[in-house]
Amino acid sequence: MLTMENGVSSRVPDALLADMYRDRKRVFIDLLGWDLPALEGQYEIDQFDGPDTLYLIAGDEADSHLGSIRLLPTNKPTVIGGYFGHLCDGGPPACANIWELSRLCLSPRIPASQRRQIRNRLLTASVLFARANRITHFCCVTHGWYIPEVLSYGWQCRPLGVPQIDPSGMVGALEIRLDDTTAALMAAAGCWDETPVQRAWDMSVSRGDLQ
Amino acid sequence: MQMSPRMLAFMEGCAAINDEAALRAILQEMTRELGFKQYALLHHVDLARPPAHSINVMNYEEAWLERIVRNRYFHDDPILAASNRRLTGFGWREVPDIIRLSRRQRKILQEARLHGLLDGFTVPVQVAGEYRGTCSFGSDQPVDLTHHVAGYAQLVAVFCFEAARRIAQQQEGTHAPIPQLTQRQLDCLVIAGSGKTNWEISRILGVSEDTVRKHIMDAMRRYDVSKRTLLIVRALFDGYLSYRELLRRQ
Repeated sequence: MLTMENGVSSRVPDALLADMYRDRKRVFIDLLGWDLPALEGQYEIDQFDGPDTLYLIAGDEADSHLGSIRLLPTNKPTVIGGYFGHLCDGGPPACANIWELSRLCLSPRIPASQRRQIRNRLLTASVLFARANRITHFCCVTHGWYIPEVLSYGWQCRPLGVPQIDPSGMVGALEIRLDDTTAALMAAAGCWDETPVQRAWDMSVSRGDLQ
Repeated sequence: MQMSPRMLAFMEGCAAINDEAALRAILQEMTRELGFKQYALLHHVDLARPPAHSINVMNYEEAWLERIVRNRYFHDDPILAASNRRLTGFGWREVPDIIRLSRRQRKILQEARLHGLLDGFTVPVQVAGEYRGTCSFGSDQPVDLTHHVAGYAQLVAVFCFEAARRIAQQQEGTHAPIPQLTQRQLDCLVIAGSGKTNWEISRILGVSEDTVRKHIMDAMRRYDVSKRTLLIVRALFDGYLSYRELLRRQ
């Protein structure tokens, strides 16, 4: 089990990663109706899931997926860079200290209060990861109706451009500024929880130890 | 379409809004900036007896606000009803395509026109586990709803709503902690929330009816409520239950 404090790493079980992709299919394709392909009819995996993609994952003792979030540096391919540059005044972010958050996925099989707790742990872990790696901003693309959720996490958030209509509805690009007030803002919003989660890269493409 | 300097300034300034007066001032200004005259930012609650943490910031005419509350128009206001069917903002002229208007609802719309609300744009706002809400912009003139206005209105609405949420949370003083429920209390509550009686719950869980009654009464005591239905509403609000769980069980 990877902890953020001492940085001891170990393999996140393949079973947990597989369960993550299964829950992503359940949430994004089945529940939210996103127009995405499902690998073998079971897994939601896209071109941004690769050996360099970082995931923060919460799993239980049986390696069932509870929640996860995907992080990608914007100086490499991202969802926002690849598909949603038009939502950003001045073009999509593209630098090593701005990372994209995507696929925040909470298992539909756990109760609402536990989902909220897992969400808080994942958001907190993302911010702590950013702090440890001199990441100054997050960015994300989100549906217009989800923007209130992102704002409710307490962090400093601003749109990168005016939201626009997409075949799937109104979408917008947001940027989140990370600084030494972020933890306090998120705590005030009831979203700060330093209970550790696991950090993983999907090594099914190339085997090796996690950093 | 680049964001205007005014919008950029508004976005920056939102974090500094810390009281209702400041929120009203910014809403007033951005309402005009968007080309409207009136605004209503509110949680969809009983406006006659709004709960403690609910939001309610409107500059509608006093006489109209009084009528809304006195006649309980908020119960089936057509704009609020339509907002339940939409994820993002919509123009008021779309409402007859979104819901089938009852006679009372047509009457409400007609009366609203007498108070300067001929046309408008409403943005639904939902944060998980909280009351549904909307931010509406109204005008006494027909509004030209370009993509530009829709996108800007969405941003103004959600940023102002977040500022309002923050103010409402601060006003609470210290957060009342969410009452802790045991797993067994929760097990009973989830089934109760789908409409089952104590006897039915006892059969499902394989315990005595007395045990079920005790669990539910204990939970009610922790929430300091005297009615089972109130307990379920509060548990939904606090995230113990989700609509999906309750509906799945029916």
